[in-house]
Amino acid sequence: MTQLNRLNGGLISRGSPLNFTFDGKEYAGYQGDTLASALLANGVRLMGRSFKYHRPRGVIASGSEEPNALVELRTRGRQEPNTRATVTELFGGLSARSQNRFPSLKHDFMAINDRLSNFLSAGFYYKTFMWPAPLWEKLYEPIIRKAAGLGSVSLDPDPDTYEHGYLHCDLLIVGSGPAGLAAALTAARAGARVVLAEEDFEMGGRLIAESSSFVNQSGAEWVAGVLEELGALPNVRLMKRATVHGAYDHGTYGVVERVADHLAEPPAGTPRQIHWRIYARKAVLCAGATERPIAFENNDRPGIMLAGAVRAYVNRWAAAPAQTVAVFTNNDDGHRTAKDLLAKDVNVSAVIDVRHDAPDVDGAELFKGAQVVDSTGKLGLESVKLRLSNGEIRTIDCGALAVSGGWNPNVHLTCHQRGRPIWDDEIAAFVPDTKLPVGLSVAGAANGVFSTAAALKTGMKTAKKALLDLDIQAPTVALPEAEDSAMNLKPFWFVKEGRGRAWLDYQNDVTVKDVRLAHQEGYKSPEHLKRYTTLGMATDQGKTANVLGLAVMSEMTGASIPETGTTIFRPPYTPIALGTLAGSTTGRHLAPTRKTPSHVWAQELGAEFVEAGNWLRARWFKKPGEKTWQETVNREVTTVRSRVGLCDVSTLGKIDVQGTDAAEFLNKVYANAFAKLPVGKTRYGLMLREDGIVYDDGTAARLAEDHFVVTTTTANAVLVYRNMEFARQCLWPELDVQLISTTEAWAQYAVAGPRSRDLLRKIVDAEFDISNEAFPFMACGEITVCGGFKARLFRISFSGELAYEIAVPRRYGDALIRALMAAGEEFGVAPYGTEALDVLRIEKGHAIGNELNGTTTALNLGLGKMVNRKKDCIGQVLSTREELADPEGLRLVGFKPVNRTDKIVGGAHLMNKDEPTDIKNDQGYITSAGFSATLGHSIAIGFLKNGSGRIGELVRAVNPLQESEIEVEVVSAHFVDPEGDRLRA
Amino acid sequence: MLDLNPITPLGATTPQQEQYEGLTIGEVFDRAMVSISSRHGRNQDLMSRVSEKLDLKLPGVSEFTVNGDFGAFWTASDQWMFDAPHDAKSCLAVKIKEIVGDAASVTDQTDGWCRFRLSGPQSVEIFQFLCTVDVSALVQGQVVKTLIEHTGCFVLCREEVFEYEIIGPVSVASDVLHALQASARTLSSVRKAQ
Amino acid sequence: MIINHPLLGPRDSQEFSYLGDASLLDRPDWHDVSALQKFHDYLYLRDNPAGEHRELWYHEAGDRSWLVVTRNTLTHEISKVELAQDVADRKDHKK
Repeated sequence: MTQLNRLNGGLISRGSPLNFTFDGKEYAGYQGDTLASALLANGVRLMGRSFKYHRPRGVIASGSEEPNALVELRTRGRQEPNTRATVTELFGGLSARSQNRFPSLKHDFMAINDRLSNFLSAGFYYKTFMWPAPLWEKLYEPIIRKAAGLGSVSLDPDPDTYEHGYLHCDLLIVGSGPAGLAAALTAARAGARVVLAEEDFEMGGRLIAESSSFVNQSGAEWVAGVLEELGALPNVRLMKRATVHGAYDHGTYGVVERVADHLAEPPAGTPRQIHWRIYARKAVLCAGATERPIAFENNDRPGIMLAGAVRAYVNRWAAAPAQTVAVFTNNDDGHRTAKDLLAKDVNVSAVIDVRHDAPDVDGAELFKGAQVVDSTGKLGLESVKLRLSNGEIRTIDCGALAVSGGWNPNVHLTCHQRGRPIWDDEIAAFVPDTKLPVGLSVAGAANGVFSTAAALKTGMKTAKKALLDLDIQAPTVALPEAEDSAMNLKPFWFVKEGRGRAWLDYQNDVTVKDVRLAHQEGYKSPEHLKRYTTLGMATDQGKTANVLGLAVMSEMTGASIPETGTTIFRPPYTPIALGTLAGSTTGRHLAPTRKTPSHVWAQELGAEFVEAGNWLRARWFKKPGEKTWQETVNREVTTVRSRVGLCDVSTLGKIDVQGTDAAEFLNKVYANAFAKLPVGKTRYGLMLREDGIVYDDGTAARLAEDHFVVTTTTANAVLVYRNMEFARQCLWPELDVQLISTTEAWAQYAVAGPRSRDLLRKIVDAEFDISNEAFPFMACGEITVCGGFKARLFRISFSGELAYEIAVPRRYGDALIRALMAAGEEFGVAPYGTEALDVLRIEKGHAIGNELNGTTTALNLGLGKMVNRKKDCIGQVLSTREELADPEGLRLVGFKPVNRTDKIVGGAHLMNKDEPTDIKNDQGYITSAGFSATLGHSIAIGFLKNGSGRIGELVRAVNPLQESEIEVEVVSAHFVDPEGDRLRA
Repeated sequence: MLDLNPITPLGATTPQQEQYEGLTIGEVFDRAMVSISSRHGRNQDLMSRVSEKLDLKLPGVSEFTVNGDFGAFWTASDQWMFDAPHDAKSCLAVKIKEIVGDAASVTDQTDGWCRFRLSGPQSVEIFQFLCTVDVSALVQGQVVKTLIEHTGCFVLCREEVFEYEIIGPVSVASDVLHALQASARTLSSVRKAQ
Repeated sequence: MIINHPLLGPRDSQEFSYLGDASLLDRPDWHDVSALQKFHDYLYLRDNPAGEHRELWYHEAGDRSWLVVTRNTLTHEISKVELAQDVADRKDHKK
């Protein structure tokens, strides 16, 4: 239980001890620890097994770039795999499990893969396991697939919620290191709206990881003072635990804020994470830099870490990586690690510097011009083997090796919009190009300036310049005296190894050998290198590996690193949970739910609902005793045909069309003519797409000379309105016409059946004559009901019976449907839903979306004459195209099963009696089918080649998917009352 | 004679009100709304009729104007929404048509919308979870229309301090309210965490 | 993406729906002797440039205005936004 590698000092809260478990074993840590720092403090180095070879691995970094220490946190619906221990804030009761090992981290059976590495090199699955060919799909691939993958997910539903948020600011600052804080101070004091986003759970960046950033104070002290000032300003928003994951168009940034990841459970009502969209007029990228290692044989043992990370563990987290540490470096930065370790009384067994002119080290043995050529230790580092400048081989004992190969500026966001970084020879690293996403500038280490003094200065200057572009004058900020040392780096990427493997990409197990192999096989460009070896394709996106890989390839091709080029960086910078991207738009909330005015009443009756687009519509209204839905629907159909039924049709689109040129406008958007429609009359209309295909049908009712109410299908309400506005604003702006949608404002019910007029007489106020003479078929008018409530009445019929549609302002819709039910009781009224609605209209051969399926014309629908050739309208010209005008093309007709007990299946294709079932012989297809309660058997409508000329013929309706077919008779699509007498009664 | 009792957009008999820390969400159900769109070349005419008969200035782009209980807000080029107390007996649309005559097309919009009044110091903060428009930058007397919960909604920044109104399509009233409730809860929990 | 609406200022593109090339404003004359060919070309032929593109957007969740947006398909930079009605008004009309 003792934390044997815990040091003094650090920024952890020793007053708040915490217990946690890792792979079932209990440990102690402190508030402020990460899982990685706490494990190191407890002397735990072995934290995972590598992806392909299952080699023992430990943590190498201290931030989100960590490739090895991936753990599984939490359980059940909160289980999350591949969580980096380096960014996991320790909380009391945290329980973490290592991944990718069986049965345990110490004894992993799959380590056998390491022995077979010669067969498992890059691209192995294209080259081995190829014979015999059929075994690939049956045996090899399933095994490989099972062995692959990191971590596991739970199939339990996620109990947490996630939210989306939107922020606006003058200046977004990404990163709160010295550059970011200097920029924030500058902008904040200028009164600009500032958002400072920091990935870490503490602000300060390297200032809280280094021991000697400032001359007169500690980094942490200065950071605390700055945050106190910023936190008190109303124009500043500080966001910790917030990763700016992407730079999107026009100054829009995506940010993930981990609101409750550091708690065992989010408090009630608190989202687990918030995804923010930040609209920044300007942004400064102060994201710092990520350290890179030097590759050498067996450079992946637990304990071999990045030198800068070791300093962070020692200084911020008071955790030594081991009791004895060695340093391997190609620059002065590695020496700082030795210094900081010695200052905390940690034994430094050697400083191995590739430079012959390396500076002296006080307190540890220095080997100039030397290289590490190998390491030993089974489950953790025990020693390293050196080759000295004179060729001598030496062994140095150490439990950890701090490796410093240089730093790579975190340029990612500058490249999210097709940008490529440029090579800077002086620091041997890529820096941002001068061409940047609009509004974005870069400061500090992210721009290749590494000293604290330079970071502070550039942070302030860049912020000032950005604000000046916004006409905001920013004051000069007094900055503390800071270190300004150079790195004196000598580029050194990898030790020319012997027969062993040297790792580049730890997470995907890609070695220098793999890069050689890619080169040998002709995959030399960085794009090919990446995909062939999978270098940089793991969850860490190769943050510690990419540049090393390019350096190796560049050496092989002889081209320089900039000549070799890079792949493209894409968002997100670090992985994002899908739940966070979804936010609260999940389940029922994926799309809005639109409820009809009679919804509450329908629920009371126990109606079954169906989603029609975003609407909930009643499907049928089951009465007690009815055993199947078919029984219910049959009764509803029969009720409409023999008595009277009520159906909520409020969902159909309604568009108010007014203006001196309203009629002329309708002539343009409808295929048929409306200019001469008399006031008080309604007319059925067809709308075509510009290519001549029918896309919607509905009615237009003329309430006044300059006033129409247009209806559309439910599904197309939004589309028709959009198209009408396009016609109005863009095609015929000279027409004096005004449009507005009124779909929502009215409750509208179909009152259909022989007793419908009798029913309505009890609702419509007496002064309105709705006799057949005064209010004939297709009449319309504004009336009042129930003692003065304004309403509209339309005598239109979808069912084919004597029918009306009555509309009142929506707030009275609930009361009206109840009033209609009460008034209709004596006539045997019953409500009917969408299923009965559909049967009724099939019985009449009325087309709906099934028939208006995006490929059919007015001619196909048997409505060719409706396209008025004497006027221009959308679709008129192209509807005359030869192929669309085929006189023997598809025509809408009806079908009855020859065997009356057969069921016609919607979607069945039609074949001639004596021809084989074949695409060549395809005669058409069934579009709508259902059981006709009126006729007592299945009926259907559909399209048949030359259908109108084949009435009486027998054809086959084939259903190959379900291996069935039946014989059907071609009939008129108007099954019931073809003359339309009932309509006009 | 049967009488027709109205129900609210949420399907109740009375409008709803909810209290959160620093924020009240109140349903507004007693207003009538009428949309007017000026006809070609009749803008001047319309403006003078409205000014004369209603003592109201037709609002400019993204504005709303008020005269006592009566208001108007801009909705599109040459289109405005009038907003007045709801009277079950008389129809605002008829009254407005009488005033504007053939200078404009008039459409009753009263029942097409649900309305929620947000008041209190947190009423502006809640919008950071609701829509992409920078509501904190709106001044009193301004109106915008933007997406809230996948639907186009008006957001009015009222004359009174810390008072906003959201006007959305009536058929999604429960979803709009749900968005307001979820955002209110997120806001108060996030404020506590800071 | 942000569209700077000429009346309303900058708005997130999610308030809009996209239709296509602004050449859709140039609807041919149905009386024209080669109307069929012209309508066909109007509907189906596009230049699809890698660069500046004039296109139609509809402010569906806002003021329902149609806009002509000049946008660079490579860099996504939007250099101009006009009310489509203004653009249409400037053309010759054929009834």
